Amino acid sequence: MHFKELYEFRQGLGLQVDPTDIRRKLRELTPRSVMVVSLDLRAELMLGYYISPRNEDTLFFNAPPGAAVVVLSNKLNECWSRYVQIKELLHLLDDPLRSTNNEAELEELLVGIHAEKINFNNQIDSEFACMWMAVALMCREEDRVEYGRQREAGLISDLEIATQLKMPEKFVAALFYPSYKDVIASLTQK
Amino acid sequence: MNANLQKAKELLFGEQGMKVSNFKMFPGYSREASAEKVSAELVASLELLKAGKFTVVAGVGE
Repeated sequence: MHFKELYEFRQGLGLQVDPTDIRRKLRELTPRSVMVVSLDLRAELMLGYYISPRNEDTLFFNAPPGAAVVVLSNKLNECWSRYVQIKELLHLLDDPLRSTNNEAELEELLVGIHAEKINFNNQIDSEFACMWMAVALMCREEDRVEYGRQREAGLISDLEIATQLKMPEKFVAALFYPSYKDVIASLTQK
Repeated sequence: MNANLQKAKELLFGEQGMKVSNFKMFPGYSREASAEKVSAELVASLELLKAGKFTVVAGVGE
């Protein structure tokens, strides 16, 4: 149900979502704190990732004990960086059953997601759910409806919507998929 | 199994590693990306984390 609260919180924010607001709300909703860093990561291979420690003494870099870490590629433009950060932050809400917490699951995730035909499993399902949730957080519902009307009338392009929302153009179309509302309804019921 | 995937497993889940409780990733845009290439990139970036070679975007509590 945490995503439902986050989604409803988003409706009260401005046109462009501020990742700082999402981090603050997640701090209320989850017990785990999070640190966001950027580093040299080739964006053609990975845009970012999320890791959370199992206990308090095993992270060997400068994060406080128990904090999760979101790593972003420093090659991303602002729109992509915002989107990737929010998508990775949403893994703070992962159901433990969808966590990748052993060697076999890591291999399934890495091999499965790069297979010619993706091999879906709990871990990969979580990746797609977070991508959808991040799309939903990029745009308030009232704006989505209005953009949809203008888009249908040919008055606005996906690039213009992406620019106004500061989100990757690639994901704008997802806001207007016929299944969008069903997907979001499903995600907000969990 | 490729060596980098094994190394990534050790860094994330091994006795001397981070022992993470969850790992998730955002795949890159290359259609040529493979588990092997991504594993190598993951290992390289985990080494950067260990070495403190990163920029803080938002600290804990920010």
